[in-house]
Amino acid sequence: MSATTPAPLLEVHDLTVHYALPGRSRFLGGGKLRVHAVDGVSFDLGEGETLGIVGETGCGKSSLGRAVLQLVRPTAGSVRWRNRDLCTLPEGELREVRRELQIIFQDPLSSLNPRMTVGEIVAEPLRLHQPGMPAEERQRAVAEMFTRVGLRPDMTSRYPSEFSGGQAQRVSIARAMILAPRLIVCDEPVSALDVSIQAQVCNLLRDLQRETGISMIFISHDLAIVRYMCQRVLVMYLGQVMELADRDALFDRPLHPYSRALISAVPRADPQHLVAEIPVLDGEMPSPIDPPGGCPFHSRCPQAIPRCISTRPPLEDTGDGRKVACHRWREPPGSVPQMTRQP
Amino acid sequence: MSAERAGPLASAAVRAALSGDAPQSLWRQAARRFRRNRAAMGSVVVLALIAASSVLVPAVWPHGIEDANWESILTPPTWANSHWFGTDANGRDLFVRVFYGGRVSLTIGLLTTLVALSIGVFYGSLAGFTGGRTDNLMMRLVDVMYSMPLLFFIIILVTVFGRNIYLVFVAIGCIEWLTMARIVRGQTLAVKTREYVESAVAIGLGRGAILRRYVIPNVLGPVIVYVTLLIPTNIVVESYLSFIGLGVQEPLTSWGVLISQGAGQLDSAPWLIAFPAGFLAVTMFCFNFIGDGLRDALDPGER
Repeated sequence: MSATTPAPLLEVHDLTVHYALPGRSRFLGGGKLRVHAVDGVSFDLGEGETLGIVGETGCGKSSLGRAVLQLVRPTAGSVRWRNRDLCTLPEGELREVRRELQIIFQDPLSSLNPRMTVGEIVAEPLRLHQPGMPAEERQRAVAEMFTRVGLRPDMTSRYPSEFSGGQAQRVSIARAMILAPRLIVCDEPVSALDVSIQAQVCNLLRDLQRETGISMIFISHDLAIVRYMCQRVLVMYLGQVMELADRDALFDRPLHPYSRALISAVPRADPQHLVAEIPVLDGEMPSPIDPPGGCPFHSRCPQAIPRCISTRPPLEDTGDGRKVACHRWREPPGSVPQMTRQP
Repeated sequence: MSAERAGPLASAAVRAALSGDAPQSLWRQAARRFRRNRAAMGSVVVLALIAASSVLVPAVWPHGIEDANWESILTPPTWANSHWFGTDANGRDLFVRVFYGGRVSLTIGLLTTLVALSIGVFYGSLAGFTGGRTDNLMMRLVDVMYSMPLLFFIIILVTVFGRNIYLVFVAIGCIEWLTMARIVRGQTLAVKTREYVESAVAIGLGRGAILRRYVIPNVLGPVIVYVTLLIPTNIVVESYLSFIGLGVQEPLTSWGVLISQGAGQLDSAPWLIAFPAGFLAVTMFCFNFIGDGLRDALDPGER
């Protein structure tokens, strides 16, 4: 069922990011409050593959993306990039490796330095990693990159404030792509853009991926876009992996109740599929400061049983290349008797 | 048609893009807003005149600053004999002394501010950008120095090292950088969480380069405003130091020295205090108007 998986370029193992909350000093003896942003996440990513990371706001998907790139230092776990553990790499070597790893942020305007022209912004990685390159050649490379991302090369002397969101995101993409990296983390790259522009930017990213064979981690809360962009999808809840599956398998037959809830909440433009009410999850995600024991999703799960409260379900391999963390994944959703939840 | 309708709604950026104007850097936009501010632009002109006169007048005026003319002691302002601002108790021409004093006062104002600016920006941005324990330690040191009264500090310096005009620069600069460091640190804390700083880390830039090219240029707005307010503050500080005899020494003179001398003869020769005090006041106003104008120009959203 699963396609022949290429050798993993990136192996993330048990990655954990905890943030210490400020305001409580050890010195006063107060217990340290920690936000469990990412809690033991493992996955790998092959050459040219796009992995989607989905989940609600605050589930730790951005922290995961940043931790993979070491923009936040993970608390535990390892990120093996081409057989080197980035977490233990000395800073100097890490800076060297960074040319292969790039990121595109959500807010295109705040990710561009307002005091630099967009030409300087796009040239910056070249200046840093290829210092011997003559200025003219660099300018030519920048102009070429501008054309590739759909900007006019004569725009290089403008400042970010003169650009629309979509154009600014193209500048971000140009900066990320100019060193021909091997992995790009897209952290909600289109959610700040108008819908019409979203499609353009998504297509641009797909075209660039087809041209360069780059691997991508695509973080988004928009399932439609994830479905369009990604081959595999990782569903996150409260910093943990709920389900990791090939795109079609996930969207056709989600195994985890949380995946089901997410997917069923996507409105469909299909008259055959009229429902009286979109099933929604009630309640809110528990606070990641003090995550509940057992399955993180038990407080909102329509199928929770007592075991879900007491023990955390392991991330099980279902045998066809997908992984799910649920005690009851084997039972088809229809046959599960709905359990009344205690408050 | 539709373009016409969009016309008045289009932002300045879009219009500039359509008409192919020069690139609109934030600095350029700020400069344009500043030029529209009449009080600020007027102040720039007045200040430029005072500065130019301070440079030129002592060079071309028929009287020198130390030329005592015993025939015309305490002459009120008169056109005769070029004593436009009158003379003091030693018969020295006040006109040339006021502008010479302006030279000293403005120089001190600028240099001390430059000292404060350099130390403050370096220290504050380093503390804010490094963060954590280093930041804590660096800022507590600032707090400690803050608690030391300026006058006390300067009296100690003067008694240890003797009276010296350069010492005044150093002393004022050494105290005034504290506020600057706090401002810069606060701004740095805000700027360093911005995504463009993170993207600079992501391309592999070193900390020094990020600080220099990404953080400092983006904290300069409020700093520039503070500079224009610090210059007059420092001129006043020099004035009162000179007034109590710790600042500039004869034969050099400054606005503070002149005011101090004039204050003794307020009844008999009011012009001796009126002219230097007037110039000091006008200069203060000018710097403050410029500071206000810059603040409005650099932070158009925060009025």
